Amino acid sequence: MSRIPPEAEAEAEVAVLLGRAVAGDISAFEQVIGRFERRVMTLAFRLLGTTEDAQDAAQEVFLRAYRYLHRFDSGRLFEPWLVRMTVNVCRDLGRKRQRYPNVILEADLLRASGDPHSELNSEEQRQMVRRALGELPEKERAAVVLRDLEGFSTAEVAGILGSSETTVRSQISIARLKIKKAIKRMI
Amino acid sequence: MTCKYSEQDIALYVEGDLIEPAIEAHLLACGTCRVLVDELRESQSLLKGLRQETVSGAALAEVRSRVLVEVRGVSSRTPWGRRVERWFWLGLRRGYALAGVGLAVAMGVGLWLGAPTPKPSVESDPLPPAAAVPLRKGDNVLVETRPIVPLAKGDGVRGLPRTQGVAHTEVPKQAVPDPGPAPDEPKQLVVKLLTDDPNIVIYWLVDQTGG
Repeated sequence: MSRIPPEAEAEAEVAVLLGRAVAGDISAFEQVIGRFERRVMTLAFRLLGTTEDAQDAAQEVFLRAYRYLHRFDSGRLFEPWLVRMTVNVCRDLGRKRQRYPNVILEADLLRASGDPHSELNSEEQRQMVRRALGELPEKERAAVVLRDLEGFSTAEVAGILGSSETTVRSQISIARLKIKKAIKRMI
Repeated sequence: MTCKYSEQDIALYVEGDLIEPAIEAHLLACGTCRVLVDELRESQSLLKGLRQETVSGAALAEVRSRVLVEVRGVSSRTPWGRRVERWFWLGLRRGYALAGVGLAVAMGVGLWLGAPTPKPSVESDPLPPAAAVPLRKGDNVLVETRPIVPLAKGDGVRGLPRTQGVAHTEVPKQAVPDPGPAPDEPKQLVVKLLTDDPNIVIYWLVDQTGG
């Protein structure tokens, strides 16, 4: 399950850590990183497509989070704030570098956690899907990744992307159709 | 597709983003839409297969290390120093803040250089009397009346290098015969000062009354 369920206890722990981090406790911020780094890195990789870019983006996300931690409203959930920042950083980085490889994307960053015997076929399939994702425009890719891979609702996706729900639904549906056509073409 | 429902509707329906009972009934009757639904469900299943992927520990450790190095560098400054830094940089990235400061300074210098130069005071260092060449009404010729003498210390034009003591003499391009002063018209003297900078020329307009 890719989305972390918002348990009240986990949220309270994060709120305590954030309070200590704002006060200057680096070890507390390190624990915050540990809780969200996988989520941020995985999302960044799905949006950008390369290890190098995903690492640069994740680094920038956590540095920005540290810099603006004092502005974060502790009454709100930290994860959506971090996800939104990740999407924005990836968008900026993607535009700056103007690339999403339309070649076979790297598989070393992301490893499958399943049956090793069927991994070869699965890996080929994942390559196809990654390539199909790479062919999407940036906004459609972000919408479908957040909805279908990260598990956010269309309303939450709209909030993260700063768009209307109608726009997000349109982007998601178009993205799904394009992915279908791309995979069918590759098979 | 000429069905009642578009392909986008079907793409939303397969993931529960469009809940409409009439679609179910339509699918029973429309083979084209049924095929589309099956293909979309298959591609969506492949897409969601990416959820199983996990990030390598090495990649995560590298990012964490980079972040902590930079965070520790920031936090080594005193709390009040960080507040001052935040206030000074207005919460911006240093690069952008430096660029903004640099731009503001450049604009200020540009405005200052472009401002009209003030008339230098003649009282502090009286210049030798000039040979007057009165102008006729309508003349657009400015004639230099005397050689330039080096400016004394402190008399340099604002902000600009003072002349280096080189005297320039400009010969009038047109010799203007002296018709004599027009009746009832005050004589006007124009003094032109040249400096080492060809872009800087100082004109004095002095009439008979000394104004």
